[in-house]
Amino acid sequence: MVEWLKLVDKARSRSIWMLMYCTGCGAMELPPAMTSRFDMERFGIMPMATPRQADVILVTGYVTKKTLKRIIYAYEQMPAPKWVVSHGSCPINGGVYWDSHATVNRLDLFLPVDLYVAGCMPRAEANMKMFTELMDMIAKGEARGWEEYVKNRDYYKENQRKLFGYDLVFTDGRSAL
Amino acid sequence: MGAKFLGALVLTLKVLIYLFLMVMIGLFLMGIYRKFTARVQYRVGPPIWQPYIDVIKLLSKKDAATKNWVFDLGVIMGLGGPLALLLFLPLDTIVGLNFHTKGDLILILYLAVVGPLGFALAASVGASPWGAIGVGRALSMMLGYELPFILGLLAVVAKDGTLLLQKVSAAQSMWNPAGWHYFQWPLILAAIGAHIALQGVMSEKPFDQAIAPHEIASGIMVEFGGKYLGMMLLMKAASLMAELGLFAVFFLGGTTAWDTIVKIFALFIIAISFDAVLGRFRPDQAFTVLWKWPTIIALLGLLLTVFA
Repeated sequence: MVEWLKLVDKARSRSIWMLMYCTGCGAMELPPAMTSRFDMERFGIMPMATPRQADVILVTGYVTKKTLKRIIYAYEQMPAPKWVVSHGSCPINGGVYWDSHATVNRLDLFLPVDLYVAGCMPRAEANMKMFTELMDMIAKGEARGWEEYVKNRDYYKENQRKLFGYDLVFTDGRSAL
Repeated sequence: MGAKFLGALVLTLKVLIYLFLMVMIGLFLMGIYRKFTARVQYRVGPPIWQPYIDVIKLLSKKDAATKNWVFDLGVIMGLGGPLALLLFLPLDTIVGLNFHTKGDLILILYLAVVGPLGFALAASVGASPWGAIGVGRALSMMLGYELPFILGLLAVVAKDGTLLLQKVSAAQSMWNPAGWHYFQWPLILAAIGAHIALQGVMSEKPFDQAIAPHEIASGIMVEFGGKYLGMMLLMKAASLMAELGLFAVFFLGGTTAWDTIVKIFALFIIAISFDAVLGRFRPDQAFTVLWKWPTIIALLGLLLTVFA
């Protein structure tokens, strides 16, 4: 059974389908990582069109209150196991927008971030490093953010409620969007 | 009683092994597709066994976002259609089955639409507007490619005077191209028409409007994730084998399993060569093109076969 799980983890690490939530400029360096110069498909990494098909969500740029709602909805639609990458300075500590009235400085208060890539913006080399790192973490079974989100649901939901002033999903099941 | 039961058990096992083998070969074809496309784009590309990894990953997902029982049923129908179709192709001699002697064109044409219809059924209860657009496109494309494809097959039926697949392949030589329907006048016209339509049947470019990921967020696939998407990959693999196998039997003299598989690989390489360099038509353009050029060519082939 353990061997079988190792095989599954290996398969997960070699087939990462990503959802790029391009909130800002950070996604600018992803096309070079995708195309013939760095070619991330060597590792089975592909961009996907919808959250349902994706394994990892890249939050590439500053996060505002408005976009954070969409990011949380997209994340909750993804089938587990799933991972979050905080990509660039802005979702880590606010970056150049750190004192703006509209931005949310720390993404990891609201979603379980598995990996951070610093840089403004991270170059294609940093992106490839990020992907290989994420692959290693998944293959070893270390990237467990999706379990943390379920385990510490109260913590994350409380933070989200404090920020928005209301629950993202009302008690009767309607969404707040 | 015991012997009868044992016989049924062996038959079931053979069918399962056969279908498993076909799906595995289909996934291998998809691996070739991804490697080939990457090389055309001057990339290294994923390893050739990448689709197997993808299927393992998708089937091992923990969540399965379903809508209702129609969604589940549609996915099962989508996978079952091409698997049933595969049973009636001469590929089944690979494990010593002989269902293909009973397969005729009418049965196969009915089975061929079960898969896409199940897919469309599941996608249309998926409640995503992109999915609805994708279903509309898929069904209109089906109308578009079925006409030239069936006209092409009918020309062969008119020439050989039989609907049975076994007799159609017996009327051709196995390896000598001069004995194939593809290279006989006037059937070559029907073959060319059906071959263009085959690109639509496989929904490769320029006829991949229904799953256009860049325009409509992968269209009919939009609500499928995890295990459902894994089933869809298996369905794609099975239908690749079924569609290409059908064409190989009718035009390239596919008689037994092994030569049909070789011909399937050749046909697939031709199809993905076009796929790698062509763009995508708009839905209305694709429909016009399909009902104009392949239909006219295939109809001409049919008429010449019947009257000349």
